[in-house]
Amino acid sequence: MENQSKKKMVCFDSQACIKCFSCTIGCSTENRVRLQRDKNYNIEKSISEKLEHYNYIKPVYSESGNFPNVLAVTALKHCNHCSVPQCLEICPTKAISKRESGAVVIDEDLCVGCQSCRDACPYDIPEYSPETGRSYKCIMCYDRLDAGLRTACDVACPSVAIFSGDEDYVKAEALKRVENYSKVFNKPFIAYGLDEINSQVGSLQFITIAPVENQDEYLIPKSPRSFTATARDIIKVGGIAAGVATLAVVGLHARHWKKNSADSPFNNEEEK
Amino acid sequence: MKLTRRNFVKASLSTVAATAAIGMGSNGELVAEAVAAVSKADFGIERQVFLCCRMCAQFCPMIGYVRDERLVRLEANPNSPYPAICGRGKAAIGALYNPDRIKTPLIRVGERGEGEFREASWDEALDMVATKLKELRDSNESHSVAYMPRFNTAIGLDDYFIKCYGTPNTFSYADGCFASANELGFGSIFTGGKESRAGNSAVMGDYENAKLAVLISRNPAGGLVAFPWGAAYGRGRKNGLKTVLIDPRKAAGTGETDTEWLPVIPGRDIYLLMGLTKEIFDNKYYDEEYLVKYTNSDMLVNLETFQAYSMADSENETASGKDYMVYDEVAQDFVMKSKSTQPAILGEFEINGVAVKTGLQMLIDSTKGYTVEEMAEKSGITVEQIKKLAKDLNDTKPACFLERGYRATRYYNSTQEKHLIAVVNGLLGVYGRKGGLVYGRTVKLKSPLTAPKIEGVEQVDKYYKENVKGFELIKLTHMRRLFPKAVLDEKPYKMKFAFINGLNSIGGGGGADMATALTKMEMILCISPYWNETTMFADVILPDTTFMERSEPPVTGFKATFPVIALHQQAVAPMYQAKNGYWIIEQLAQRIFTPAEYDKYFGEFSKGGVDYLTQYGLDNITGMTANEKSNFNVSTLYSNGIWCGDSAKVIPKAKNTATGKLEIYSLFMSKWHDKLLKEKRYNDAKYFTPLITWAPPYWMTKKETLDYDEFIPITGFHPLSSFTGAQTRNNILLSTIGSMLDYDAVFMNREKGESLGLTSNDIVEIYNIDRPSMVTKARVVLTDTVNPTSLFSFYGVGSGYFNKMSDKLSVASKIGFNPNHVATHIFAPVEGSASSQDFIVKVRRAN
Repeated sequence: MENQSKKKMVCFDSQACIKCFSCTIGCSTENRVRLQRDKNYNIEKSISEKLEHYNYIKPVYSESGNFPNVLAVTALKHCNHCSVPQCLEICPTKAISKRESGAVVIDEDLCVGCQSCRDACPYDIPEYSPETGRSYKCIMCYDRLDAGLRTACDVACPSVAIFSGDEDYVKAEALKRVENYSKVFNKPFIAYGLDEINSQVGSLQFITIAPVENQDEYLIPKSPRSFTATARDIIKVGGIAAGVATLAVVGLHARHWKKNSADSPFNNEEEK
Repeated sequence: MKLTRRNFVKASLSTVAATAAIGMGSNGELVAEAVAAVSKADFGIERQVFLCCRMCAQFCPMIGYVRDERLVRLEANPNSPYPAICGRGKAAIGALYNPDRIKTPLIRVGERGEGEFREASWDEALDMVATKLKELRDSNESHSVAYMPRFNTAIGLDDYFIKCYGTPNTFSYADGCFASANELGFGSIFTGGKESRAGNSAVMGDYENAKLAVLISRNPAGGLVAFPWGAAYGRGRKNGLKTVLIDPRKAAGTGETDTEWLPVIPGRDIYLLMGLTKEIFDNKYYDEEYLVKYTNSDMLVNLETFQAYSMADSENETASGKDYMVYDEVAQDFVMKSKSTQPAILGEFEINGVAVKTGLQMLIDSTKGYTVEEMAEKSGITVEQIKKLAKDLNDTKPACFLERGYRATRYYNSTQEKHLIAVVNGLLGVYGRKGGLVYGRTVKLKSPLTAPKIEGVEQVDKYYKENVKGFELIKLTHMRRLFPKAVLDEKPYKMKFAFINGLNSIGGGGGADMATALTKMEMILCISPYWNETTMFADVILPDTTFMERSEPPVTGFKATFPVIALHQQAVAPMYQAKNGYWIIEQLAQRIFTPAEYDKYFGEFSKGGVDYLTQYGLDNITGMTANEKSNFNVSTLYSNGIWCGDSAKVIPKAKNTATGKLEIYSLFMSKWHDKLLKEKRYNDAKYFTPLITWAPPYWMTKKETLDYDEFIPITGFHPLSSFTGAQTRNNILLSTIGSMLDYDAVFMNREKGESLGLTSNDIVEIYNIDRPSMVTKARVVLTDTVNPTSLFSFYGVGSGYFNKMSDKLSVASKIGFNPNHVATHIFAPVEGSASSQDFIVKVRRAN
């Protein structure tokens, strides 16, 4: 497509969301279509396997307060597609790239499953699959967006709570909504990721609209930090030590990975 | 069914498809490096078909993408103002290719309920069923066949076949659904007629334009009607709609951060509504102008009869049509409404020695015996919440409404609850107002098939309706739960054959009694693509197609403000040995009827098939406006898959009430109140009254307060599950996400759970205090989002008490609570539908 150079954006609006989780199912089924398209899976196989790692949007429930004054939020956890992707920086096999559209993508064929990306991610996003030995996260439907289509989660959403497309369009719509909500509910709302959040993540291509006071519940913290990424920044300044230290970090991850593959939650899930 | 040329819709993504074709190997696989390099979004999509989703019962219009004769993706049909399907619809492919489907005809070899079957050929299974059906018919016992349809696959033919066969006894599911309190409660103020019924599409919230929506007994996300309600609701939220949730459980879909939650005690919503109404009266929050113009608030009511002061009561006036007597403040006299210039909506008068009050005065006076404080306490919420709600409604009216709630009767007093909701909406003047409650429109496609009338045999439910007190307002042919009663009563005659077409009779309510009744049948036939509780009792099971494997006539039954016609086309060939319902019905008909009868009843259909029904229907559309008729075009329908007409006008109207007005003083209710009083049925009369008064749920007739380990078992739909059984609960696409959200657990108030010594993820035992021997196991989750009086579970996710079929389902939860299995088999007073959650359960930790 000619408009490859154009930046793309996705927005999740927590206010318009009716918590039907169509987006998660749409994501999962689209990834199964990709399996058929790219990996020669047949449909019966792709549809009857759990393939949990292909659910790039995961619901995360949190509750605070006491009955009846309780705040219950189910956040949608997914890659935010940072302008400064720490995962890309740390990946030892250069499996992660940032496309022109702004999508940050793990190349499954290059990934060795060391999980450095997860530790470097200030949002704790990439998920390791013991089934395939690789890490996974939202790819911002780059194939669809680049072809001028909306993302799978957007198409799946029945309630105009997810919208995607050219950056200008998404930005304008998000700002319009934030302004309206702030006025109607008389308190500040944010389109998280439109502006730079901090130096570690920059701004985001997958933005979220939520009340400012509920940012934590929606997993869009004011100051996202990854210890690993921060440590690496310090090491970088240290010059000579940098190479050794990075290797050490990756080495740690390799050990961590071996240990985890034996007693991962995924394995436990299978035994239930 | 053949796929016709018409089904092939030109791919709108043709450019994408062209790109995708590059790099495809000879076997259709793609070269490996495409993974990182792809810029295409699709791959050799061969064709698209139009479908109407059946993962629940709402038929949301969708598009299926088919590749290599396999359905690979489902999306909402974009050619409507509200393109929307939910996650269940997207996951329908998981139901289609589910390896746990019933694959061949089966014949029972073990005991009923045990689930032991052997495979059989279609011929053997059909012969077995048809022989029995023919035998009953030949001995004039057609009526002993009970037909129980639900998700059957022969829409437009099954009912016809059953009538041609000669049984009037259809026991459909709707007593747990639309044929319930909701229809009568709402109908009581704006439908009229002998039985005032208003279906869900009669009136609905204008979410997009509303400023405040009060969601009472309805959660738009869980009980999702994606097209168009879910879509409209989301658009409303986007516009800044404020919401108030009245529910024992804080449902996520109504809003998380900017919503108010009024955690009412189950079955006590009426107290809350009584308090709210009183607050509205005390502050004159009602819309006077609207009340005068569009309601019967000014109607004079005879205090002796509680009926309208009748024309016969007056010597001076004569009755004319829907007119009624009012007190005119300008004339300072009693005149007919049509002749009045300023009718009084308040006041107490005397005409010819008869004491009368206006309709509104009747309602106001009925709230004088209690305080808002008392009502708040009894309903479990605070006075401040009631007062704030009343004020907020006043501030936003008419762009606000109380949801009419959704379908099922839940408690004995649900009809009165719905009636009061309807009254409050009338007081606020929101019917037929932008942002308030707006009216629906539908069109219908006529069927070419007219079944012969069944003579000389009494319909079972009609017998109950006409002869048994307590069943006078049941909806005929929709009384699934009457079947076990009739069988066990042996009234009015013996039933011998249960023909169950897509219904899960046991799972849907009255489970225990249904199971007992089924064991008394000489034969049980189940037609279903999936295992459910009821199939375990079948003598013969015929494997049905899923909705994606068959064509059907276009669908028109949508809950929308505008009429819709949507196509339903077969996407793929049936899997395994499954056959569609039309074929099954035809095969049975061939075996049962004489050749002459077959030719007479099925000749045309056997030649034309579903296309014959479709063609006839599209040639005979009723309900279109002249404008719509001139614009409607079949070829456009086939290229878009859907046609949407114009929205109903947003003006207040009453369909056919006695007064021609919205009857906020319901003459339907007053008529029944009077009738029940005359029969000295004082208890029943509490549930049918035009006034703002209390009527208890069944559980409160057992005990006023709950013991420390007792709960009311409430349910709601999870957006990743449905009442459609294995196609959702045994669907790996849905269960993967659902289990992250504990959707198979029971949810208990944290503090109460801790007082019982429970912690989250404990396994508990649950039983109905009326049925202590039927114990269900479930995993408990403690939460602050549930009222301490309530035990919440998502309906249809857990395997329930009749969980033997879990052996046949590899994905579905093996444990979990289903109230329908163990509910007390009670019928709501007079209207007779399923008071499905109106009982008390005890909970204890399982060892």
